[in-house]
Amino acid sequence: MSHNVLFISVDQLTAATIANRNDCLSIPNINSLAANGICFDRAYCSDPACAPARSTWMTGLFPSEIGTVFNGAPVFDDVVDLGSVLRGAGCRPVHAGKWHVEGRDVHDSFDVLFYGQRQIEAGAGEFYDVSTTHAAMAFLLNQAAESAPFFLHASYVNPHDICEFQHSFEDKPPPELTALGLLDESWLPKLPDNFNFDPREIVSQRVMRRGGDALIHGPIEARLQHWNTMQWRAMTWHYHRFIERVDTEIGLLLDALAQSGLADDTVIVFSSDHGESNGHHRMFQKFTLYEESIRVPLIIASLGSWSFGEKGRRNDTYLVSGADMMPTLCTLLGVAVPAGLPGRSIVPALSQTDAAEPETVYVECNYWSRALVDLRWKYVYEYMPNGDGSDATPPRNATHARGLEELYDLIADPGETVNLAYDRGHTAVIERFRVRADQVEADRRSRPLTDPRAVETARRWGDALLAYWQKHPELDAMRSRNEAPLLNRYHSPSTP
Amino acid sequence: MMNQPISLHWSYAYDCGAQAPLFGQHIERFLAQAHVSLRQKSDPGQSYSILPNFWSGYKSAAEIETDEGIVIGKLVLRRLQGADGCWHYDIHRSNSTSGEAAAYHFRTRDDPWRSTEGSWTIRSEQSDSGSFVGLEATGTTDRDCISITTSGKTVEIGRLEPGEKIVPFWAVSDWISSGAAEALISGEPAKVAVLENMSRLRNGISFRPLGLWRQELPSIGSEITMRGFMLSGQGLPPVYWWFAEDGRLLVVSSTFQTYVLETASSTNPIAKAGL
Repeated sequence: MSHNVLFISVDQLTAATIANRNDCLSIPNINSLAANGICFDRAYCSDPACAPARSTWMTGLFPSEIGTVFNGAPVFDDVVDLGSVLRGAGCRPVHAGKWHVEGRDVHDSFDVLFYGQRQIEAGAGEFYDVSTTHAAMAFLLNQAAESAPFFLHASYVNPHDICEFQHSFEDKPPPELTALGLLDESWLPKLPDNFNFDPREIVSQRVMRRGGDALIHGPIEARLQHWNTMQWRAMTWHYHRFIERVDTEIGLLLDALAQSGLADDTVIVFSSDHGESNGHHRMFQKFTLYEESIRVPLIIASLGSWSFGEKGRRNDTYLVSGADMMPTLCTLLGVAVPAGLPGRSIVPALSQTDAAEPETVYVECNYWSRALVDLRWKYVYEYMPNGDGSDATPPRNATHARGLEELYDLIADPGETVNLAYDRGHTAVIERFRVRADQVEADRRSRPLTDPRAVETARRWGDALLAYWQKHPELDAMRSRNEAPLLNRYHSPSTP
Repeated sequence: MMNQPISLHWSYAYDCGAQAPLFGQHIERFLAQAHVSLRQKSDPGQSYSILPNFWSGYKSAAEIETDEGIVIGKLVLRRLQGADGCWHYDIHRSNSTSGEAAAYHFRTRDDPWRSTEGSWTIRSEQSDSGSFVGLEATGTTDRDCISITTSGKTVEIGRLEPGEKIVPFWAVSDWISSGAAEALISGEPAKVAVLENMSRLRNGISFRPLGLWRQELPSIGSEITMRGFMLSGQGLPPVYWWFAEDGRLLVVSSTFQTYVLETASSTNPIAKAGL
């Protein structure tokens, strides 16, 4: 197999936004992509943060294996990236737009069309994305059909602009646009069914993401808990506009591909680095293991000939990891997949309905927490810091004690509103996932952090977690799971 | 530089948190200069400084302590009525963060909606570490179909809905001043599509008034009364437009950037046309 690949990535687009019909959102170009290929409805990022997720795309390894365990932590120098692999195989790797693989200069392994005057990290899709489209269009329209296979990464920033927009309201409430007569209420999406959440969350989630003292975006977390319904809905309305904005860019790019004469020999891969909470579980942003944050759109399509069967299909049973991206891209380009990668190419699943389906997908988050997802369950777990130098190596069961757990039945409770981890009836499920977690972690080659700033962040976060555990001794009872201390204090599955 | 808080309208109040700490002082100084120039200067066009609404991804906090540091670009708007009766627009915009310098040349009819007339040109030059040097394109309308042609290939950029009027983004200010805005606000069932960057069609745009705002200008011991409007819709997060009482555009604020008038013509071409 040897195709050109046009990899269109966006930033902060949750899978649910495109998977469900939404009268408040117009994305004809993303929908067109889905109609021209296969949409994988169960795709997950490797880590719900920009740099870790993108570093997995570009190295095929999980964050704990490459050093980029959170934004700001660089990839180890000895890790090989996709550009180098492709170039070594005679394929031309080309990049336009956001990169955000910390510690790795994109110019070292890619031909760079557009990069901005500074490294594009967070926000400003408002103007960066225009240049990304123009650069990618020019490349496609001037590419000779007989030249070497290319991998063109058109890397958009939006709808990430919603993050910076939210930061506008760290010290003031958002304007009430409906009350001011600027928006009609009928335009606003409704609050999600899972606006509320089960408070029996893992400690890492509480410390990192809840309340004004949250380690990640605490100031805006403090504010938004006081927003009224219309303010929450208006924020989602804004999110939709940023999605539409990048959809327009995608449309221009697809039209350019169609006009280029390359459509028959170019496979399009579309995805997002991570999702967006978008009001679900009373959150915005990512950095959490709920579905809205970790589940991403994934479409593989072609505007021309297509050898993978009927177009327009959806696959909702094949679990895809962000770690599968590099093997998949290599396979589509006819390049040998580097040995030792944890992911695998999903190309067989494009044409075979009986392709072997992964049993679970594994996600890391905020250094200290993890999730395993299968077709029915999501198991969320975390590690407790040791408070010493061992915390500079990404935690696993062999080195750190597990903390609290969460379990959701994604079929009965797709909104993840009831944590079943403390329900005795699900002990066997929990036990099965604990074993599976050990197996998955045994396959990870976690490496100690070496960057001093990354080590310091891991330590600082660990100290905050330990302080929370010490302040809340009642959590030890939950952790032991010998009793179900909080069951029925909140709500039961029948009354979400 | 003084650091006393300036009261800004919420639609362009990017002066706290993750935003530029001195944004308020910067925009006040620009507005004060513009306020003076409105009375004293005569320029053929109008020039706007572009301020970043957020420092994240742009510059370090130290770099935005000065005017030179905070300004990330410039917009120059020129439009004159030609012998053909059409308005000829010449727009130049540079952005030092993305490295793009773009020029748009287009004509509009002499009607309140500033509908496009004939073809238009787009020329962008790119200066960053990438190899892409720029884009040249020609835009056209063919009934309801809007296209651009570049590198010899024509790409459709959108279609107008039945009855929808097309307005170039940088003609919106004249459209607002012309009275078309009032007609739309009062319920005239016209639909508007905005052509952003002369290459992105935003259908179904809504337009709402923000009312009056008196912006204090402590550096000159004065204030300026402005009238505001919000433009938003499909693919277009809100853009806030603020005008002086005589109709000149003073501030345009989108999610990521705020354009603020540097200098102003004493001869408003709209007023000259008697619109």
